[in-house]
Amino acid sequence: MCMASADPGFSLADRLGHLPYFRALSPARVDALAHHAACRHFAAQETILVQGEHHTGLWVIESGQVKVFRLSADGREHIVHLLGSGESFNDIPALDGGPAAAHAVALTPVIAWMLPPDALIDALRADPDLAVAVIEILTGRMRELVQQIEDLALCSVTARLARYLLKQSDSRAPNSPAITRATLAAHLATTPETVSRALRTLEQIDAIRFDRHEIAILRPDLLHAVAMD
Amino acid sequence: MDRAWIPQIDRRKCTACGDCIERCPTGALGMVAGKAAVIRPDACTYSAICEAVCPVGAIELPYLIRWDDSESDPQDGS
Repeated sequence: MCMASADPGFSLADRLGHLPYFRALSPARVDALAHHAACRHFAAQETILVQGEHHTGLWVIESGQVKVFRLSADGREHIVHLLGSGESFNDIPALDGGPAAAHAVALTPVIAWMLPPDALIDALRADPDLAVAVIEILTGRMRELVQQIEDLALCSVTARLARYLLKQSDSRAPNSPAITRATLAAHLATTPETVSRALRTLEQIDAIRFDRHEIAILRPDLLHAVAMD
Repeated sequence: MDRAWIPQIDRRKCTACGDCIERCPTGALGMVAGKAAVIRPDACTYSAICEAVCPVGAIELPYLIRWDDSESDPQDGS
């Protein structure tokens, strides 16, 4: 376990300060929190968390891509989140001390920081604004999960794909993770072949365009209409 | 983001059947040490044929989802 970032330009305090969790904290408080964090490097495909096991701490990604997923009894994978630089995972166990709710695997070489739960809980006790920010984030996650359940139960794959793409366009994240058809399929609970067909459907109506390795979102209004189907 | 935008081939899954090499329209793939590999990355046009024909799912093409600012005029239905 290393204590310093590989990137001399990287500031954990800066990165933590930009996370929704810690925006309410003063720079001095964020800096104090950052001193409790420990850095770890993971190779591509290396396991970070195992579902059901106790891994305490809030993880913040410095660089690389992390897949957070659950496995069904027959081994099928459902991707809950694809995360990139600056994003966090293992939020719930970091707060309640329970087991990891999902597996986490590095998709690429990953550098990540782990913030121990004690430091997090102490910061929550000391700062009501931070506590309110955390409640807002957790309720937002709950809404997202309810939406996911509705999507899986009621929407076609094309509609689910359109929603996923809209979410990407909403965030306009400059470092959004790369995604494969197989990953999309695992996220949308379908097969890569069905994802290919759905992508072709969206391309045919000019909602998206393939530009070599890029899927360009041309018409979010059309995606929105498909997502409502 | 510093990464190579080429097909990702899982050498552990690859059975060296050669289907991807045969079907690649630009000759970007070849056999290296008994496994399929991207031997001419500059030639790859991202046709995704290799991904589609691989019988064991050893090949994946990563995509970047981006907003197209150049022609996102919602009024233009063309």
